[in-house]
Amino acid sequence: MKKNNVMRVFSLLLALTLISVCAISGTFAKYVTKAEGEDQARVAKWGVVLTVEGKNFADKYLATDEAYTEDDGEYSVVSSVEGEAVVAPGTPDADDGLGMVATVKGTPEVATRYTLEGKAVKDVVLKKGTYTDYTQLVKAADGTYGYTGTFNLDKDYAPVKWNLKISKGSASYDVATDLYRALGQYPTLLAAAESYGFSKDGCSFFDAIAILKKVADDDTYTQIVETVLGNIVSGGRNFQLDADPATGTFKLSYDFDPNKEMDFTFELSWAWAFEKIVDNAADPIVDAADTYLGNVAAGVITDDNANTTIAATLTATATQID
Amino acid sequence: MRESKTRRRGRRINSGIIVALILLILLELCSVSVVVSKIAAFSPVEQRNYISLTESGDKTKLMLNAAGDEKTDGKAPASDPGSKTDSDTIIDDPEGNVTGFRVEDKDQIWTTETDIDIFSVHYDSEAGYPVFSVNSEKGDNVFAPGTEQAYNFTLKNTGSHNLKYKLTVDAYYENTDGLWIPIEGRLKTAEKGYVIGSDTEWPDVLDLDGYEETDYLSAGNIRDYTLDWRWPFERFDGEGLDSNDAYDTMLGNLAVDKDLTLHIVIRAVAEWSEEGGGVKPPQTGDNTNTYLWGAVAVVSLCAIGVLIYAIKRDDKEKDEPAKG
Repeated sequence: MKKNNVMRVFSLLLALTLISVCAISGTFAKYVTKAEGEDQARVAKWGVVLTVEGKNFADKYLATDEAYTEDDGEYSVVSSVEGEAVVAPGTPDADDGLGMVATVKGTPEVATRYTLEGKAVKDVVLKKGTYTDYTQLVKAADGTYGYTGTFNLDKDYAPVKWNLKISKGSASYDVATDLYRALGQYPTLLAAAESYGFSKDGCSFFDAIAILKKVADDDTYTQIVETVLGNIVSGGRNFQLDADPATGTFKLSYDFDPNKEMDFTFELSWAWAFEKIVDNAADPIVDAADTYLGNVAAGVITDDNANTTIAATLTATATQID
Repeated sequence: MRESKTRRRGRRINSGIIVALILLILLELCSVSVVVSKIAAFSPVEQRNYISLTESGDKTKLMLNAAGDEKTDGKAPASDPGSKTDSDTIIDDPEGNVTGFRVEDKDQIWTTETDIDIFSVHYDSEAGYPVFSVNSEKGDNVFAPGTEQAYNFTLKNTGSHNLKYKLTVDAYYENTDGLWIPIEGRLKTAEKGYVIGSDTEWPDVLDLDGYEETDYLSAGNIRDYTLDWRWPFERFDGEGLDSNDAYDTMLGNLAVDKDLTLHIVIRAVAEWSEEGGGVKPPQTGDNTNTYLWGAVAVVSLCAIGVLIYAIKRDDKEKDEPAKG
């Protein structure tokens, strides 16, 4: 009986021992909770490439009059000082390859404002007034000949007409021509614009904008500009187009949403037309004014109202929009 | 005379056995009581549907829902704030107390490897531009000059025990080859204010790297944090605005062909704590020497075996003279 009790105690101890050994065989780890948040971002792509190249003026220009030259490549206008650029009525020829070209390419991940600013820092101008007509020798009562005739300019005469073309791929748009075309939807405005000299052909880019701003209210002007440039510069918005013929400046800008491809070419060119056709006849005043300017440039006459030098700058910028 | 010696010897053995037994019983009771007390403190009831609170080294994104079904999606739905995740684990102690720790932002509850929204795919224009002024081409996060963002997150002690937590921040660039990127960053808490930067001071975002904060969070309390960053359009760092623009443009052009990436990692680790005031939590760590008590149990088991052997031998010796 005593032996059985001892065995029972031993069995109990054995059981307790096994339990304790099993229980402490595990670990009592601390309770730890962990949370981790991570984020990453990269620098947004820019990659907008702008170029402005080319030249507007030359020291010689190719002849277009076939009667003047039998061979191609003859020059009808040549500067007396090599390397010194000149302009003259009838220049430039299309084959002269002149014109300043600005390009913009890129697909940035940020909204971008492209701005193209041009300025004719100097311009060939004959201010309004009465001038001696050097196109005609007038016989005086005493039988002598002299330049005694005059012509009158009722506004400043700036014969060099600037033009802006925008190209995308093979398509090319003349801004002045497209503005004239868009104005066709407003017959009253078109008539008013034409009365100021806005025409389908031969209108300066500067003059086109100035006339348009003169005849149209702000909202209509903005709408016409949006229509024209929105059609040319697809993908853009907030088009701005302004020009001031008096200062010879213009500014074109538009905004591009992120990830919109920009691939456009802007060409600023000029032309000094030989003559202006009015009522199917050449305007004699143009020839008189051109001749007067030529004489001023030659030093034959001196007149502070005449400016015979011209220069232009073209500046393109692309700016991220905040 | 010979029988008398044998009887005295038997009495001495019996006395030794009794003393040894008493000693063994005491040791056994001690070891068992310690073990039982530990078991009772940590595992009062069967815990089902909960993830072990041990630190996850493999960053598993396992999440259990209320029904105990496994989900492989690491993100808890924003509309289900009660979902239990790695950072929202609940353990009951024998007194019915609950411990829970959660890190969350306005969109989600963090798990062990949560994609949070410190940066964005696109940013609104501050100048009234009608669409996003910055928008990633491929849908990944970007930043650009003029962008900024504030990210708010909250540490929550959802239980009834104090928690000791440690918050760390890593910030580093990738693929920049040491090129400086003008991102600035600050970190503030609702209680302490700015812990990096100030109202007027914006340190470089890399100043966030290595930030470490250890603090206590009383039961039921929260701690709000705001991490904000910016890439200022105009900086006055001595080089002038023009050079800033040129530098920013250079970075944007580099980014066309190469991802110049900024990483920010925030980690929060919490454990039960008896410190920090408030409700005294149950014991959450076993600091006693369980090896000692385990050794005692093993030794006593061996001693029991030896005793059994000794008693049997003693009985055998007693029986042999009787037969003889």
